[in-house]
Amino acid sequence: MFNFQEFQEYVQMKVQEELVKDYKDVEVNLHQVQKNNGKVMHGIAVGQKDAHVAPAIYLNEAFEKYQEDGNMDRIMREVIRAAKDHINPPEEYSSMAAEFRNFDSVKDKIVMVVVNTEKNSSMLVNVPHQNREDLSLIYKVLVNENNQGITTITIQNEHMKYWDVTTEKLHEYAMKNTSELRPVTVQSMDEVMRELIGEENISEEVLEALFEESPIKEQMYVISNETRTNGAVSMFCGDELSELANKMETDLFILPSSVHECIAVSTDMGTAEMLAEMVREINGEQVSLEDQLSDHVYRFDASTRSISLADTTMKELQSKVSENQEAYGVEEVNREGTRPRHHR
Amino acid sequence: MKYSEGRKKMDYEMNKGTITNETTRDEAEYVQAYNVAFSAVKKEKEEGEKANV
Repeated sequence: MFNFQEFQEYVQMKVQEELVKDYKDVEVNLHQVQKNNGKVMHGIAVGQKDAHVAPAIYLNEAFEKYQEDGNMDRIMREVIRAAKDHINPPEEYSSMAAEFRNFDSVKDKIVMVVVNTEKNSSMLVNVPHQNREDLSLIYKVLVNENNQGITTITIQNEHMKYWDVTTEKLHEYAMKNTSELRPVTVQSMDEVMRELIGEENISEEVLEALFEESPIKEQMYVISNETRTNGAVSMFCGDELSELANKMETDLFILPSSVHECIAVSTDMGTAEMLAEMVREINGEQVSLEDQLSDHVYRFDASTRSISLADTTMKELQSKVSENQEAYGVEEVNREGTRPRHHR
Repeated sequence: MKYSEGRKKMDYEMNKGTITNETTRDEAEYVQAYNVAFSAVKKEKEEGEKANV
């Protein structure tokens, strides 16, 4: 059996051998990409000479299948098929890659996304960002967004250098563009549940009976955007939280349910500690690691329109991080010798 | 569509960067979990208020 490094190198060699029969200038390279919360995807990039972009085929899942059944032939068939299907990228991606060096071409497409600072610390070294409590705002160029999904490019320090712009400038554009290009949506939890149950062909009368309208102050509100993708950042955009707080006549607690949305409730509906316990429990049991945003609850102060940690403070969190790093540092030294070579 | 079934679209590498595709998602099951947990909180609050009366 191959280890993961050998597996990737074998796939790279075989895909190169196969594609060179049909594409003279093809070049297959190993590469890796860092996703949210420290998840790293390993795979191959299948490029053609002079092409601006190359499809990336990730091999993490394929390796898991290989470990289960050892069927390398099936994996190679699937990978080669994917490479052939995508070797000619969509025209808009090629033009975006070509235009990417020109700040004027991208500035009106810069949007922002919110991620957890600690869990993304290694990514944030290479990416311009602004911190908000235990979260960070990072910036992306929106290539395309429609009812099928969203296509983006994460802005790196290197891009910022050749554009000769500052993080503050990126933030300024992102604040304006995010509100315009990815408008904030606010839905009561009842509406969300009605939508979900409505998909199961239940009559309007039954839905009415199931969802007796609660007073506004006693409801949860889901804050996101139209595609419900990377929509938690909506808590930092627009006037919607302020309007909601005004209707409730209280401040709000914000529950970071995932990177895709957050949930707002009146501060009259419980304590921050109790709600943080709810967030920790649901994160632990139901939300994938890649989608988690934070285990902490925030307070939206209606009078100052500001968001701050509610169940803890940054000082407390930073002292916990230092303690963990000290403990992890010792463990890391002990573990290093037992890890497979390709993970060292 | 469950969230875990999304993200089947291809990413593309460019020189110094990645074009990332993410598919549109319906509300995931964890949002429903918040609804259930919050209903319990409301119920507890109502019972507390009744007891105080």
